[in-house]
Amino acid sequence: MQEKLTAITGSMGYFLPEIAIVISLVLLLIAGLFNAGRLNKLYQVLALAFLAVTMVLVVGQWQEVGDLVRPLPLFNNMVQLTSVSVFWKMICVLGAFITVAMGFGNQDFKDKSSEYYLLAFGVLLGAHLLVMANNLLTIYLSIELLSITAYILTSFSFNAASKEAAVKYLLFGAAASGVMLFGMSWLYALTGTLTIDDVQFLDGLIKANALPFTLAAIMTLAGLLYKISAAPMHIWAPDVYTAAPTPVAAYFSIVPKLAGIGILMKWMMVINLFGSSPVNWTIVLATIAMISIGIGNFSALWQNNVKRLLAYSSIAHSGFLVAGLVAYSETAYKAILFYSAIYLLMNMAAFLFVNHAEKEWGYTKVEDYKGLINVQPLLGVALVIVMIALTGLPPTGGFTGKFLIFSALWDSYVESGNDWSLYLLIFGLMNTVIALFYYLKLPYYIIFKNAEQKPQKQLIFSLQNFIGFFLVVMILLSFFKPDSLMRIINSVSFAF
Amino acid sequence: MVVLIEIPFYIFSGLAILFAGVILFTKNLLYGAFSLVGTFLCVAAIYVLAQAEFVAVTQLMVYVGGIVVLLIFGVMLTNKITDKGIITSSYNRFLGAIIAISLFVVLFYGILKINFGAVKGQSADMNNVNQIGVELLTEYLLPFEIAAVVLLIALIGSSVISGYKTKETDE
Repeated sequence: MQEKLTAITGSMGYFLPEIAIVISLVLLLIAGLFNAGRLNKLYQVLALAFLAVTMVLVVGQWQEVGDLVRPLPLFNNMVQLTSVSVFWKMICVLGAFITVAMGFGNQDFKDKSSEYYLLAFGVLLGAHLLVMANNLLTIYLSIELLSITAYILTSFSFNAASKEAAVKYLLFGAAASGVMLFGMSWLYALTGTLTIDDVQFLDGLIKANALPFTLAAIMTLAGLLYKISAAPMHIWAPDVYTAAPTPVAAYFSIVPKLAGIGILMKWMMVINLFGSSPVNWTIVLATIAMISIGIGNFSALWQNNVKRLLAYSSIAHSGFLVAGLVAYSETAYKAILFYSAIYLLMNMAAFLFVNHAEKEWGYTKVEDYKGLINVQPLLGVALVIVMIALTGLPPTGGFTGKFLIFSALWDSYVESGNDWSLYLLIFGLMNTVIALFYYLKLPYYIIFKNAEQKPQKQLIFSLQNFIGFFLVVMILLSFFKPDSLMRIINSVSFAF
Repeated sequence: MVVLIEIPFYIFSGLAILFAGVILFTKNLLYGAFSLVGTFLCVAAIYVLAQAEFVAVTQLMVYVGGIVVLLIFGVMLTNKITDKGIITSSYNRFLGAIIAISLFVVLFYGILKINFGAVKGQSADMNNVNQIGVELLTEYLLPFEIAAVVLLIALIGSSVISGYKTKETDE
């Protein structure tokens, strides 16, 4: 027992970002008790400051993990600190920072703003724990933390639609985590341990009968797929994205999704069982990726609401991220990291501008954006660039990301003769063409249509637009100079 | 000795299934809620027989004491016309039955194939509560703390959601 306690106190030093998040959560809660309703700018500034501190701590960890040879087990191997997890944590904190910078737009319910920022920290904590998790119990609890916070955040529009979306989200989510928990209980029955990188765990799974192993692994996978809104667990996404406040939708499309991809990468390495798995997971994943990309793109074609369109687009992007898992190699995993970083930039930029248009001019439909370029040339051009990036065309980072994923798929086809990689590659390329139709609908309206009623010219300089333009510049830079991001990703090691 | 434990085990499992069946087939929501109490009590008894006293007590306190009472209160308070119970109906019975039965067959067959030898059995004289307390604060300290944050968030969330007033009701 003494050594366990020593391990716990020893782990605290490597757990600073998470401790900082919990402290900020509590401080925001206390700050929210004073004069709610008038101090919401103060809460935003406080939240941004806390996130900046967290970011500094995470970057500090990045330097520490640089010389780690093996993953560092913390808290008796409940979580593990690796360079991959620190990379994901940086992305999550960045996503949270941009979301908080968007502010709490709901003017009628200003007194709820401290809770809003506090819940953003709750999601962030869940994401941090999820990407580090090394134990089924930690995985389950951090997914619950992510989900419960997400249900509450969904209802923050405080209207009938967002209540309905939150209840739908809750019901789907409860069912998904119930199925996942059932699968995990089977895994425990098969192995007698919950630590997923334990020799006993892997050994038990290799010795296990094929049928229970497959059922348990698929049930657990279902819960994770739900979190990244990949098909067939995607049904909640469009309603939730449309009804939730725009910053919250942006947050959902980045942080829980990428944290889910992070744990999925690890989970696939585990259930692949060093290649001795009775199930060919590439086929399962390739099917999931194809359905996600297909459903995302084809449903988006008919959408008129910009947020709904972005929701379907995020389902398609989950498909592309899962496609990287299909290739299953170190290059592919690095391609996923690159794609995720770019996805953060372009999706956040898209939501930033959409949020601005919605808050200032009340734009929600694609038609509303008619002739935006004549009134707000800078904003119009920026939105066009973002949409091109989301499609995956040069000269944007979106192209580089898709290119890396596709070339990883091609490599996996050439090297291991994996036919499904080829099918997925062809399917993905075809879908990129389909995606052109709906992504370019918005630029078409912005550039070629004339507005009937033009919004009044007004200054568009605000913190969130500044961040948006900065992200657009980053999207362009990541195409012309991807080296610096690649250098960061290359120093990540997938030692397991 | 083995038989002595097994007989009540099967009795309680049978009762649990019976009560669950009532929940499934009754149309009156209040009957369903009361059968839920029966199911939970039987499951608690099974936990006791499996020497998991702590889980059994938790089951009693959380489910029977909290959730079901809340459910029954909910049913009774929303049930304004006192002489009529809340009636629920089910749709797609045929399709639902097929899916449920096939799922049951697959899962049942899968469970039969599991070799439960991997799970270590605990000796009977071990003090369960004591051990859980020690483990929670050493081995499982982090999950314990995460659960604390989850509960805090849930508390804040419920107060936010229930505490908001729309403009109409404000005036």
